[in-house]
Amino acid sequence: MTVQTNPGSVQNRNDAWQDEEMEIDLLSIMFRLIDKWKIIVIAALVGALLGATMVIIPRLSDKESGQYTATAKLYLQPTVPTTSIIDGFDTSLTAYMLAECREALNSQQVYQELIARLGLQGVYKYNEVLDMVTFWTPGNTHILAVSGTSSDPEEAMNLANTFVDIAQEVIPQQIENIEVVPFLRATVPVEPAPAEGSSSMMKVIIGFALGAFLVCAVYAVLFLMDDKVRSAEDIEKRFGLTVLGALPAQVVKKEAGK
Amino acid sequence: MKQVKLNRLEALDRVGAESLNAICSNLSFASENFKKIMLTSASAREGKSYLSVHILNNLARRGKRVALVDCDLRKSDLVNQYGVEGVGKGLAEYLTDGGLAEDVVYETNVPGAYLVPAGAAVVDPLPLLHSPKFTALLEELTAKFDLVLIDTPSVGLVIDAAEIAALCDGAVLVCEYGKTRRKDLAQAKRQIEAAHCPIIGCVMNKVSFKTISSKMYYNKALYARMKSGYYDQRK
Repeated sequence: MTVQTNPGSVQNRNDAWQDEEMEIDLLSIMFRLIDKWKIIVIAALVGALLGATMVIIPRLSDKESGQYTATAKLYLQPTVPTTSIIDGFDTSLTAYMLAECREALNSQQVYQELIARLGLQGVYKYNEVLDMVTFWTPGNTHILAVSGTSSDPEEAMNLANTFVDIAQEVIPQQIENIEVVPFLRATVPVEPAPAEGSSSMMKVIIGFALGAFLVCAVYAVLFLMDDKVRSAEDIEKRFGLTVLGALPAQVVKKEAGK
Repeated sequence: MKQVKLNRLEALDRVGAESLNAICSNLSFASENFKKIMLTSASAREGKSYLSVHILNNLARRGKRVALVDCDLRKSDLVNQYGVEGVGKGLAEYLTDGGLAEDVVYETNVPGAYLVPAGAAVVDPLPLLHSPKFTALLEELTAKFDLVLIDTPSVGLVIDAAEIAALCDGAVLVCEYGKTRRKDLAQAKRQIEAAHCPIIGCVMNKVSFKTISSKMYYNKALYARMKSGYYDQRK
């Protein structure tokens, strides 16, 4: 059953009036915020400054994660001749093959093999080892990068190199028409990786936006609580009075009436 | 008729002058039905006297004969504020001591503009405002002039304005931009309506055109054209 409403009903008129009132209020708030743009910009800059301070202070205290990361790389060469294939198709084929390679490496057998070769049984749980190894394709390349992360720099290097060794064996077995070429062996990392967190620029941007937002929110609340007459529409709508005119605050220019 | 001089009647800037023209035109349209118009406000110092004097000046310069009656018998500042020179008896003396209406109606240096000053301060002006002499004075002025403007105290402060409203044909409420509270304005409106005086309209005074919101609300196009020098062009 559908309920039809009378367009001219009192309820509808009230709803329309409320909708219109809300629209006017939002418009008024927007104008008020535009009036206060200088203060909003200052608040945003203060926010950005605080964000920048949050970036600088950890750097001054030399806060580090205590984890070492070592990276090894493989070059994945398709053995299918691509010279006759148009570039777009070649690109999609490469992306498709790289995705297949990543999927092949993301298996339990690979990680079990890694644990076995490095003798990590009983040292780490399986899920911990999953977190210690990450692999990705840098940009639009044929390269597969593998990172090992550990509190022991040598272990980090071994994780990366051993995983690459396993990948060299697994990928050709599971995926046809692809040749795996060692590209870069991991070395023992010298310094621990920096502590994780949002980027410096992101913190500054968040600080900027947060500063501006807070001041805008304060002004919006003050506006909504303001009981003073500030517009002709206000008088006309709230009191049903005609506004004959608005006289500006005067700057005296000259004497008259003499 | 005695004469006085308005020594401190300041000319408005161009935007102000145009705004005043609009207000006076609207009042002129209304004055066909409203001869006795009172100006009041919700609270003090919102610009009633300022507006009254400028409306008097503006309409007189248009060729109308306009009288301004200062009915703020408790604390009038109009004479001092506008440097009115040559004032003798005022409304208070006329209502207490008697005499002729001509004794308190002064011709000003603006042709067509006449002034009835408040006179000496009165502690309790209500009996005077209730007196038949006051009603008779207003009737006499109505007969002689095209328009009678009555400057009253704030209706939110003392009841005098409501008493005067009962004798007027219409009222203009003056409110100050960013100062008058809505609840005070609502109370003032109720009080005037209780005196069965129709409210002709409201005038926003001391509007700041410096803010974008005020520019958007009041005479945006006029303001923009004035500032851009649109009306300065001479062909």
